[in-house]
Amino acid sequence: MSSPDSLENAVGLMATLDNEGKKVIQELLSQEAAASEFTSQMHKYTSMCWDKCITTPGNSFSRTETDCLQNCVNRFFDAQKHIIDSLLSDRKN
Amino acid sequence: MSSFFGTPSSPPPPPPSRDPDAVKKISAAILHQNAIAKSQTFLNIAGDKCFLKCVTKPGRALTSAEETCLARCGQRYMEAFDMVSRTVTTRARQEVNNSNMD
Repeated sequence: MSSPDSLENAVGLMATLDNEGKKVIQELLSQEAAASEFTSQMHKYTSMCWDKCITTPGNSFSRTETDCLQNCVNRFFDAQKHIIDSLLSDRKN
Repeated sequence: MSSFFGTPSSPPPPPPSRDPDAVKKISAAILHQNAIAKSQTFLNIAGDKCFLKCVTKPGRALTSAEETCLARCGQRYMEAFDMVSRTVTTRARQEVNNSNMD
């Protein structure tokens, strides 16, 4: 791959960066790492809720499917909270 | 004659030649690479999900019904991903607002 975007080129260029430039790239890398962590969480929720809500994928989502996907995400977070709350209250009693 | 190891007073080695667009080029390469990785991950997952949903009893070849299902499924999976992401973002924002009120 010899596009100007290629990683080999970028690695070579890294050595030529001054401190200011290194800081910019480091910041971009940690932003991108956070974004990809977010994306992988979204994949987890999508996968879970897709399995629960979609039986046969049609031409477009039905109202029921849309509602189910949204409810699925919200109830998942409710469930997380509930589990944590109940575990914490068990410890107190 | 200067020693090979240099002396404290010897001038520092010249910096490697600077490309004024280095930061821009490296950033573009990183973003480009991540975009590729992102779509590969998406296609892998959607491929698995849609195979499970659409090819329930694998035969000698894909039927046209299965092919139709696979095409739709890819579209719907993308839609589901966007919808889930939006729902999570909304929910997260609500949680932040609620915790600020406490």
